[in-house]
Amino acid sequence: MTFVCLWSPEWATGAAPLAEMATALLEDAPRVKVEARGVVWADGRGLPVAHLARTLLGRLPGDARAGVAGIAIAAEMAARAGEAPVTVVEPGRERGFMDPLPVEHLEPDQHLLSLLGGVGIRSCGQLAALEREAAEVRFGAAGAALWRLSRADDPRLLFDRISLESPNASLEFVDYTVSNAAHLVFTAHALLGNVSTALRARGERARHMTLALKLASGGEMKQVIRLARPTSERAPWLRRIQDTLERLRLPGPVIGVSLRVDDAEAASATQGDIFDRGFATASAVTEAVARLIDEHGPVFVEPELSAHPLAERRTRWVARDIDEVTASASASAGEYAAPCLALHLLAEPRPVEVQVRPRRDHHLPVRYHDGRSWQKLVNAAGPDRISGGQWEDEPYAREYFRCATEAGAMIWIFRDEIGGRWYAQGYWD
Amino acid sequence: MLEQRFPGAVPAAQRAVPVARTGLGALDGALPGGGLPRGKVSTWAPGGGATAILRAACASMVGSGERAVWVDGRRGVVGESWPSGPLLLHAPNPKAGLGCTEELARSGGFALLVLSGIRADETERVRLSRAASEGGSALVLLSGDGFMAGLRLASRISVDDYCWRPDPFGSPAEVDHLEISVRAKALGWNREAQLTIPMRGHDIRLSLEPGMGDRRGTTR
Repeated sequence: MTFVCLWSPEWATGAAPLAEMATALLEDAPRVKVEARGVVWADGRGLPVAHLARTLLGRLPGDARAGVAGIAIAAEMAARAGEAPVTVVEPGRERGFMDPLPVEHLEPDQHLLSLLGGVGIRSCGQLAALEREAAEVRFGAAGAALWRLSRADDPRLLFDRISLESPNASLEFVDYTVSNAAHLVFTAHALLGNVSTALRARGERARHMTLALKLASGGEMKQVIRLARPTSERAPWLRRIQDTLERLRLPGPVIGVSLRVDDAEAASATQGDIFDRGFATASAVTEAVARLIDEHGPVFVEPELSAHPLAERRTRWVARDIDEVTASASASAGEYAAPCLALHLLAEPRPVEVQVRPRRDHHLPVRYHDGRSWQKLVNAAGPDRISGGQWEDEPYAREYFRCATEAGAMIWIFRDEIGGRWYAQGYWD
Repeated sequence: MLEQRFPGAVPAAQRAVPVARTGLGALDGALPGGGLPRGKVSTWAPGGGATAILRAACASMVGSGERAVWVDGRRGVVGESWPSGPLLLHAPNPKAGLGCTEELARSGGFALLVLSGIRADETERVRLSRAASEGGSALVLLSGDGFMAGLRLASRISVDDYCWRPDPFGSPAEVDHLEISVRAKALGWNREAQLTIPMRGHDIRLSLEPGMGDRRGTTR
């Protein structure tokens, strides 16, 4: 960053129309900033600054002076203290330039200035020679800030980082229009090539893009295209754009297509772990998983358990994002590493016919019809009774039995106490 | 007869095949090469504890630092019984489930893939077999049809294999453990393994104590 500071003793009074002057300066400088205390800044990065400073001075009335430096405070001091119309401070010599200059140029308040004078500090160099702690203890926080400036250490960010234009490409159809969205895939393919190349050249990968279709009727139809993971590769983006276009219904003929990257991030590589057996195949897995998520949606899931008494309402399956899915498989085997017969649920409880015999205060199932034939239930454990839902949408009252069939299967059936029917809800496997 | 004379011999066709160990010593001992063959399709007839054993094999695979994925076409897995570690894929439809399995098998990043609740016809099995071969994954289909399978497994639980704990009235209350017999068949290979595993009960949440059924009764 190179700063051009423009200053005139007349501007500090506020009489000069600084805003109007700044507008005139924009003819030559890409960015200009005006400070109310009568200082005008121009961004000289990448430009011949000495020439720029002279040109800018030529546009200003009166006896304005210019200072040029890589550090803002040095440029300002050069403008204030320089004898020539343009004073350039070479990079690395800012502090040496500032050392002999009077400390008043740093614009301390009167109280601080009198304190500095009281201990005989007249120049920036004398102030800079102090220890930071000494300056802070004697002159307070304002003194510490001034001490920092006197050492040509200026943290001010006068001009924000210039954001580059995001990669984009567009094409207009001059001789014809396109009415079928699927035909635009070829155009999108060509545009995507340019965008993909631009992304790679910048070392970035796109998070999402906007495909804009210019309509002959005058409007524009925009589609935001997202992938499961940021990438600069053409193939996954093309696949997604193709899917989008195939599903799209155009309100009218299209006369142009444009593709713009809305959000991008820096491409980075993951640090490898020599103890991770899955690292060698991590990129292949990421590719495959991203393709599946793009194509079928969030298919990778993990259970989120609640305390609901009904088994069918207890588990909620939550989608796992791509980073979780592709994270290296280093988790320990956990408590279920040993095999354990566990419950599986049917999609929904299925009505079944059951023959029962009385036992104590309930009816014990002894045979059930699985839809094809009667199965003898050799052992039945239960009933496990649950009831509730009076304050929900549907009350329930069930008597559950775990039954071992003659064939060796363990099934889970229940009697609906409200409707009086038997249902099969799951099995152990 | 050869098997009786040379019980430790492995058929030449399976000697060079890399395997994915299930982590269950008794079962690995009954499998040719000591595990599920990588780069090949294996089939396991559903039921009889197949899911329990394969779920444990997936968890064991993850525990050893490799990846495992379960493609569930029926969506019958209960959240409480799903181990942390292996990936679970809910297939939106059978066709998508087969496509996902093929893609994951071909990626080469998964040591073990299990496809359950989806029937693969012969053409699809050829595709899956090719994908497993390219990716080097051990692909297990929960199916009784052994077409294209390098290893065919079947497990069985007899009604007498359940060991019940009685309640105070002497009626069966809880299954303590059970015996599963697994038979592995491949070219020149036919062995059986016996496994003893526990049964995970379903926690009725209205119980006074977790793990114990609620027997307070409902209005009749």
